[in-house]
Amino acid sequence: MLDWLSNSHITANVTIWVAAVGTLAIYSILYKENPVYRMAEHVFIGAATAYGVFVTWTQILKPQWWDKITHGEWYWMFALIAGSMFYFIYSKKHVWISRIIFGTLLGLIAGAAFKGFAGINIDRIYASFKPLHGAGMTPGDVANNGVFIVVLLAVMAYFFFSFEHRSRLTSAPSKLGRWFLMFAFGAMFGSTVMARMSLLIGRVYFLLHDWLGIAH
Amino acid sequence: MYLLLAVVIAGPLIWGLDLPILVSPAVRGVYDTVAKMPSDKLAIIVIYWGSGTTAENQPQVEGLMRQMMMQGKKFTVLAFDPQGSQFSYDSAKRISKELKKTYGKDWLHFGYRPPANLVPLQLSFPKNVIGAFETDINGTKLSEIPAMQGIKTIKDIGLIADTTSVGELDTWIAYVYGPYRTPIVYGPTAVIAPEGFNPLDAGQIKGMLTGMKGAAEYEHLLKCKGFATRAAGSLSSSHLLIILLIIAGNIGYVSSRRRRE
Repeated sequence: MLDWLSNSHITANVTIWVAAVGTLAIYSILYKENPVYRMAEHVFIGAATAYGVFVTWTQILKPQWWDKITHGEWYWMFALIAGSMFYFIYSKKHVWISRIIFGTLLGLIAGAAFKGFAGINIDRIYASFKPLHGAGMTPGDVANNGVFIVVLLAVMAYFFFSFEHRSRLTSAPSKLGRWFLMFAFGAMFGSTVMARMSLLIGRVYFLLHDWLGIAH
Repeated sequence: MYLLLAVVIAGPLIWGLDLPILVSPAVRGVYDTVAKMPSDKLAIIVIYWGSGTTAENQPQVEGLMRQMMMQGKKFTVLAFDPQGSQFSYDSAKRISKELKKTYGKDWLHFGYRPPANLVPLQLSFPKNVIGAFETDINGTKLSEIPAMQGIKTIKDIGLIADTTSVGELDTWIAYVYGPYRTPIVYGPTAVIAPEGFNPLDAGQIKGMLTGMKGAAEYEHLLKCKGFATRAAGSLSSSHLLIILLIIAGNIGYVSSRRRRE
């Protein structure tokens, strides 16, 4: 009865149809809130969660934990005990057990964060000291570095809160810094719009190319 | 308005709109860094995205895989998203079939790892690559895979290519680039691309593919007309529509305010 499932051509077609109907169901929210959208949303969330559980078991827990226990490395059982300790957060009486594992984890994370700080920031601080003259620098390089330095100082002036910006000497760079920040936010928002358009194009391309076969 | 947007996007996809593609220095940086990677080292393509951003991240990953396979660079894929793991595996299988490359010899896939394991892995794999990852996507021990022969520590890793829809780049810089100076190239979605400009300027990443636009530029360098190139016309036309709508909206706002006054 299920022989058709072994036919890759048919299953590919069924997959594309299911994906196309799912895409249209999700986009139906653009018209208004409706049961078809709700249904598709729940199916998507359920399917993604189930797939995540399946992959976690087949690619991580089974080969790297369960198989080791069943092949004699019994001490991997302690990972289950450590993992289970998190769930004691739901018990008023035994919440202290969860604090042990949370405390250990926070200590490890804090240690890693301290280590990471230098790795991230030292290069960036160093790179913010840009030369305005030097061998091999073109007028374009000088202009670029000049703009960088002006923007850097102005934005830092905006975030200087130790005293009120009353005099022109302090308020002018601060105002300039605010303008630069607005330009930056505008550019970031433009990038966000591009991202959203890209995702929409991806789905429209799927509908036109894979489903209807009319895109080139 | 949605219908107008759909038409503006669908038109170039159906009839084609080939606008010139200019390659930015950031994209050329990705290409050059991959090209310079020694062939005896292994590149790690990181997948930190799922079905929601395939339109942006998948063309980036396929471009990276294509260049590495064409230029004889070994690579593995490391996924922190279960869906992204399968998407990247399917892409690699398709491209390797096209370019006649072999799994296990020219490329491999480490499979999915939970996102919570990202930092512990970044701290552990530089000292023992096989010990940290253990098995590939099929459950085969890494020590038994030919492509992993001679790959022991971070010194044998030639490149990290981080493709992502979230902002975890800083952890790669903190725990891999910072202490070991392993080159990193970055493939973010356009939403988080602004976070990449600081590390790009500081030399912490060697190149960047900004969303679908970056992928289109990369395909142009690879002389391969993939999805991102086909979609570039639609991206430009949709941006033009939005610019026109912003101008029209502002004209309407100013004129209505004048009428009220």
